[in-house]
Amino acid sequence: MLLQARSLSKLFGGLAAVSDVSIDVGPHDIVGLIGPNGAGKSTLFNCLAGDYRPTKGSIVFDGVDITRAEPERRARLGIGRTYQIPLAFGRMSVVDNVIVGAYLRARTRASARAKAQEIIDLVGLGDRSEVLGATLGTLGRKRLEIARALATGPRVLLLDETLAGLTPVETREAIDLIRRVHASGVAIVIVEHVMEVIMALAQRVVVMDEGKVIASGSAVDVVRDPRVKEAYLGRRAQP
Amino acid sequence: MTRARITLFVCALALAVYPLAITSTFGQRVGVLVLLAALSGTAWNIVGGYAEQVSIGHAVFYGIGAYAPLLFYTNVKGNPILMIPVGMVLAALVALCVGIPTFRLRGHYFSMATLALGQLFLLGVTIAPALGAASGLSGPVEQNPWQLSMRSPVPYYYVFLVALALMIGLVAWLERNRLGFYLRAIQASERAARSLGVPVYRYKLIALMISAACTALAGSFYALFVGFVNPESVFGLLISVQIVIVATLGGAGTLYGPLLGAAILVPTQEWANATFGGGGTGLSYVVYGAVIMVLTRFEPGGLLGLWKRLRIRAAASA
Repeated sequence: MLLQARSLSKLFGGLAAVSDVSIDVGPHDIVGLIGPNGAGKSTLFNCLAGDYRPTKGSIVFDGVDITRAEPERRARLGIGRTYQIPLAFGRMSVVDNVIVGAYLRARTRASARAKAQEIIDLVGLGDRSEVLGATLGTLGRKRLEIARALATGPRVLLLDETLAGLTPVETREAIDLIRRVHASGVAIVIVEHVMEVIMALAQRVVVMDEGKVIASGSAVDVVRDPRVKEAYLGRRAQP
Repeated sequence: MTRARITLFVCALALAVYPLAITSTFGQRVGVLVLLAALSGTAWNIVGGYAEQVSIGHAVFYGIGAYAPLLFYTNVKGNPILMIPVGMVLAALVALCVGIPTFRLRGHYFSMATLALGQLFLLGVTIAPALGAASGLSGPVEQNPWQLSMRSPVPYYYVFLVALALMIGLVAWLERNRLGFYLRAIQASERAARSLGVPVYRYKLIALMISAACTALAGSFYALFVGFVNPESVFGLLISVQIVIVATLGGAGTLYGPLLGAAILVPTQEWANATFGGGGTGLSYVVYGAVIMVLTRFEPGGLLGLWKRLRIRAAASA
């Protein structure tokens, strides 16, 4: 396993946003993390990315215990992430944004720039590389976030609602992009509440509700699971 | 691109011939003061502008730079110039000690901590007899170019101009390399920067140390030019504030912003002091207050920010 979380719990005050969750991500996986609002997806996600420290449990990445590691150390080890609300470096050009990520593994300016340019082309921002980050639209910013994270040379990419707020056409483009990234050898964990996206992408789906994992398996199996239906739609009223 | 080059060339030429064209000692003195303000503003800009870690305590480093040469001269009659690098190293070390606890703080808290530290140094120097206490220290009186002690402001002007060119060159180089990219990323979002593997804390410390050493250089130059320092004139709050204003008026986080800010602010201030009664620092406070209010209300990007915006608007309407 590339990324392994064991019995993770995260308490805010007395409230368990995540309780006793285990999750495995292999080096070639696309894992979907779904669940209704407030299910604890984002909290779990932020524990994996290093923004939160879990209250209990452990996280191991490629044999290294990273339960308490800082986000920058996780990046160095090979964990990339995007934010639900994109945090583009607004006053920097698209290519400069990506160069920041590329400097993690590049020694020289020339190699950082070359790496950034290559990734910008991959995510389809090639014609806008000199535009300021702040002037991009929603899809552009999401592409930029993915590009920046990819430039750090991650082995797993954590995508936090990357496809929320996109039009259907844009969503299809974004799904294509994620497939291309995966094909280049990066494992993917994607948090989403748009079911179609998960159905289209994820080989394995983990469903959360009220801080717990209530189902996991292939996308098709999971949507048929009565507990999942119940979590999303509520229980049918008894006549 | 070529137009920017031409502008740059014309400005550089104007700076080079200024003391030849302006023959009054007052005018030449103002020129020197502009360069001193540009030096310290450019130094502050490294950490305060690019990384937006707004220090209101840079007088600490300026003061260390100013005191080191004169202290050496006063105590052992040594050549004060020799102490310039020592002051720079000392300032960088103090910056390290200051940065380690204060960079655990964010945003305004960092600014408040630097402000408090500046006042602490001011007080400490004022009550230290070994540092001349409240009455300060004097430099060499007799003319000696090897000790940078001359009557005419012109030689100072050219020494400082060369130093400014070198410092701007250094910042331009930093801007294009890892440090510059990391600092601008930190300015935009520390959280995103960390997720990309940027060691935020370490790079803030590095930036503060470089900035402190460069500020100390400006302080040393000031002391050698004026030939006299006291706590208020180099460790005072007014110095810390002037450094911030010069950089932000021209455009914080831009290469030439501090020079532009200095070229506007210093002559205004000198003119106001000459016209409305000399020596009073009270009026400087009024000018600074006005600049702060106008900037925060209308153009936080400074004059270069305004210029950029106007050009974008002109391009859009053309």
